[in-house]
Amino acid sequence: MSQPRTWPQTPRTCRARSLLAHAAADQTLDLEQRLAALDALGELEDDLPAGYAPAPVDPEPGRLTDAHRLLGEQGHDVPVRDRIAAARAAARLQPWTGARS
Amino acid sequence: MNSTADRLSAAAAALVDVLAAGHSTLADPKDLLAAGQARDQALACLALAHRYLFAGLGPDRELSASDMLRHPVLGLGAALAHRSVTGVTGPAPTDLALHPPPHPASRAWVAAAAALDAAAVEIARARPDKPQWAWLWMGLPPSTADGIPPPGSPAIAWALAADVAALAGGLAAADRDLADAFGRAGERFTPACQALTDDTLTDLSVTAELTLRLAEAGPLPDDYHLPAAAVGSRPLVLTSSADLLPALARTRDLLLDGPTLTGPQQRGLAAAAGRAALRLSQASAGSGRQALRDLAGAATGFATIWASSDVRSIETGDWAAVRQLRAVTGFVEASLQRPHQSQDAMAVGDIARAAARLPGLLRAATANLRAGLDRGVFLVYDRLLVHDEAAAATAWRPLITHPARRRYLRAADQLDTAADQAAHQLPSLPPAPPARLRSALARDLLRPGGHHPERPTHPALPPSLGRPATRRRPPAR
Repeated sequence: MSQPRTWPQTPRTCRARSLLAHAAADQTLDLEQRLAALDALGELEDDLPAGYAPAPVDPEPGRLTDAHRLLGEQGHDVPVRDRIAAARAAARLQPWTGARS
Repeated sequence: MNSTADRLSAAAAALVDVLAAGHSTLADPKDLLAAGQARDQALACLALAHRYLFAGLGPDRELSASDMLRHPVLGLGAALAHRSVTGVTGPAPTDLALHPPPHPASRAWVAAAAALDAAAVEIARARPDKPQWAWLWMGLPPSTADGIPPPGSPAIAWALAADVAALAGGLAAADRDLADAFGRAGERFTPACQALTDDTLTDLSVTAELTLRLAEAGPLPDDYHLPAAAVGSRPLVLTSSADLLPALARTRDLLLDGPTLTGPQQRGLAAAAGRAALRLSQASAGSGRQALRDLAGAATGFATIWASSDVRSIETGDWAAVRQLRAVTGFVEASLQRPHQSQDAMAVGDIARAAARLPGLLRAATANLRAGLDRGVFLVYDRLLVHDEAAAATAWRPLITHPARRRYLRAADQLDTAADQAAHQLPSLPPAPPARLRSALARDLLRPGGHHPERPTHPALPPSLGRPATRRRPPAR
């Protein structure tokens, strides 16, 4: 039986995924916010090359703003594809961060 | 910054800045004009880059939808060439340099246009049919010490194609943000908003994604980090509300007849269903409203099971059903935002019938999961078994014999119960007129099951490099 292969993600991305997984399950949040968290998770996890999956993460309490900030702090050594994924995930959270641009 | 790769990386960074900049407060007409003009410039530069990258190859005639599917790289060129422009005229480049627009999103667009312009020029200079191209990619001198130019490389040519496809996908995503800003800015910018959200947006996203998958289907340079990937089935592109029911029916067929979805695919599907139910509940009245809202909550709850799951599938599954449902959700969201369309009686009927299909769709999703649980395609990461690093790699256990299996069966049961309740509470509607269904089905481009392409010869490379040697015909006796 083949063991699953893990797609390498930066610690910031993994922590953002932990926060998003918790937010998605948080019953106290508005349904729109939970769906936004799920959408952002989708941007980070869905478009991986075939045969790869993201590393399992534990849900961790936190705000969507924190996840948004972590996703915006990707280094320049991250592949173009992963940086664009992080930017797209951050864009999903933008309406719920209260950030004024 | 000398090499083509550096220029493209800078262009990607600028596009990432556009995606990261908040468009929600972009409202000043000066900012909007500058951003719209820069966006048109970025599009033109990408189209130019694509033309040089593939040496302008392509048919003279219009590409049909199936042509675009069979030749996604040419399709991307056509999609870039036909993508609508906003047509707004902003300040001259000199004025922009002297007085940059105040809003960060607008400034990001101007910077992205400049970076893409530089990248397009770099690709035009180092086009891949020239022998020194591979060296320019790496930023090395264009000829060797012995005067013999180094050869081009299929891996590098396709890596560049992958980058341009990723940039085109990024531009399509950024277009949506800008369209929202134009949409909020009043009637003056309505044509620009419509241009950014018309059918050519879907064409660009789809062909960019297909090209990216195609480019990744073969070896790429080591520093590109992208192993092989495959093209999945193509979702039906929705152009009118009459397409909603065929698209939902195809989603259900893909779930019932297709492969078992992986965890992320289950999450994506349930989240898309939750969003669709939520939007439809906002457009409904009476008992259907609360029923759909409850269904949205149940679907979101089911999606969260997979958001922090230790379960992996040993199969690749198929994204086709998820993409199809997301297209449906996107269409419903767009329709409900446009008041003139929601007043159309036919559209209202189509949307109401679509809502009535959602419970059945979620039951198909749980049936897909149950089939996978019974076939034993899932592994679970057993954290109790992990004592040290060496044990971590072998801590995967079959879910079929693991206690964690009950969690997923219970989640499927709960979703089934919620779907049954919603189906009971939603009002029954007369069926749609057959003519409306037939016209939509005629344009259905979905293929049953996924197909895995082999990467073709890069069209811009000399035959000796790209194409395999043709087999000679045996001499006639």
